[in-house]
Amino acid sequence: MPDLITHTAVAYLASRPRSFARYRAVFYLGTILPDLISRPLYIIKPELFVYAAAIHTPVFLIVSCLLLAELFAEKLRSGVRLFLLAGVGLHLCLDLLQRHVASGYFWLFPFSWQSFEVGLFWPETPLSLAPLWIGSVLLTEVIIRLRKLKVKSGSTPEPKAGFH
Amino acid sequence: MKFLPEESTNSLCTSWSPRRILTVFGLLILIVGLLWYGKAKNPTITLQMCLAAPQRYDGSLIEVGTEATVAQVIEDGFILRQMGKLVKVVGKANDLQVGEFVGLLAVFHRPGLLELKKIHVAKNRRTKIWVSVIPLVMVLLFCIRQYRVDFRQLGLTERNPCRT
Repeated sequence: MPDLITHTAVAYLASRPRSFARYRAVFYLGTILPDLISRPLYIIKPELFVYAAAIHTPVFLIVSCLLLAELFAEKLRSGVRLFLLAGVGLHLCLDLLQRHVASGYFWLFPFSWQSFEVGLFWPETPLSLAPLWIGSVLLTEVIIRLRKLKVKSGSTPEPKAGFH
Repeated sequence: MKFLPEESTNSLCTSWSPRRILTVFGLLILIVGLLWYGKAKNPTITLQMCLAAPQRYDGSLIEVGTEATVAQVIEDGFILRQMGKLVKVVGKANDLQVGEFVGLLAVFHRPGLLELKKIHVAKNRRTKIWVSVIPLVMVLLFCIRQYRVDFRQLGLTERNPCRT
């Protein structure tokens, strides 16, 4: 996995469209979900790695998203489901670009134990670019706030003649 | 007369329906099934399996990557530590330092020796793990800020439903 700063920063940049506004938090949660439920397991107890191999797979994550969405109120559920899945999808897309010394993730689990990846970078490589991701997020945030300020100042009504 | 807001009246009739309970139950069973299948049918030969039955796995090509670190650098290779066990790895590996995480592809020889084929030194992996805690906490706080537990529905709802 790339580090979660990379995953979250990419999710931040991808979730700028207005349609994400209501479910942005859920989208971010989806983006970190694959590592959130698999990594602690074997970092804390490496013997449980065999389970982690199954957890970090599309099928398992889809089931987990569906389960997580059930915890939300009915009117939110379909949106939560969609944005959780979108977040997980983004996470897996980034992971697909990685390379490993041997086999990577089992994308077709439980139907196949075949593993494949694009192999552009090692899992640790994006960490060196973390300052760049943080900078991009901050810059985007500044631009958004400046735009909002501009819109606010532009929408203030002109004082009527004779009042000053 | 005090009127209940629309959201509250909705919540009265959208609690845990039998369908929702069945869905959650079904998804939980699916998760347990996938975890069991992932453990039972994983074809990966691990170092721990080799050490437990050296005769059976003698000459097998194995992947070692789960929380494996360099315990000691020696003349013809290094000593690998994984899950508390130490194994000698014979082969050329440059720039190794004690405590670093490594991933490797190696041939197992009984009683407990690895012949190195391929190695990747995961530099900064420890930093990556610790750095990843920051966005994790931020995302969880963002979720807590956006959603709250509705005890009437026994589910999560928006804190500020007016937000778009």
